[in-house]
Amino acid sequence: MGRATYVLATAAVLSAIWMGLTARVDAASFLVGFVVSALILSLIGTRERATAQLSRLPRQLFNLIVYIVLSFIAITRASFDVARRVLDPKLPLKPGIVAVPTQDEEQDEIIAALSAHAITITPGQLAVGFDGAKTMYIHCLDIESVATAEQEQAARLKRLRAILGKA
Amino acid sequence: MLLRELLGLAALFFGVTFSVIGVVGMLRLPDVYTRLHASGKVSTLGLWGILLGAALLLEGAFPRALALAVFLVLVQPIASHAIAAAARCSGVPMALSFRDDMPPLETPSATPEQP
Repeated sequence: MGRATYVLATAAVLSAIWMGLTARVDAASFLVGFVVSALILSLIGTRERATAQLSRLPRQLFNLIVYIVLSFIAITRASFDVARRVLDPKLPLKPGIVAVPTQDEEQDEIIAALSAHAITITPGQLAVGFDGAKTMYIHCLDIESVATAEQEQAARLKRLRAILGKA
Repeated sequence: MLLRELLGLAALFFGVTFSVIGVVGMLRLPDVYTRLHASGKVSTLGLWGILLGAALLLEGAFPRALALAVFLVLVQPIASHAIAAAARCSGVPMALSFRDDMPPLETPSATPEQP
């Protein structure tokens, strides 16, 4: 995918978001969003070339939708979990900071950042710090709940790589 | 029409309840890190409820509510992480700690890796 295609495709998505934000769905609104996003995108250099290929796109989109649905469930569970702990008269907490490796051989920063984002919306966990892109330090409300954190991270890594078109 | 209003009111009630629980959490939990769980997670669901209620009750508010909901879930974990990292860097201790794998900062000049 060339740079021009990348800029135009991203501008199209951004102008759709712009129309949603302004709640005005017409050609003029789209055009304003498109021109401004294309201008800004052409000024910002992308750090690496886009890895998207048209043949992989359906699978990437499918993985993205699965990821969004799973994230939605995780957010709802997280909120109910924290609400239950907060409203419990005994305040059942066992907090601590636990190191979880990202398990990514390439140590891609985007993968580390997205993993931390996903962890922060899963039940009772909050990313506090990083050691490069190698290890994440996670604050947990209940350190018993991170017994499975490494397996969850392995599954998450696989899904994120599939979304980014690297696997 | 009536059903839509009822659903909207139910969503509003749900959202407000969760926001109140978030505030209760802020008051009851002992330190910065645990409080971030309450403020971040619980209020995400609370705001979703309020936005859903607004989308159902107000005409033409749906696209804006959807955009705000997506924006919120993208940005809220980043804000929580930024506050937690800042607290950690300035040496705020955990009030209650059963385990701490994170190495303390050796040099005072060390800057946080993630802003």
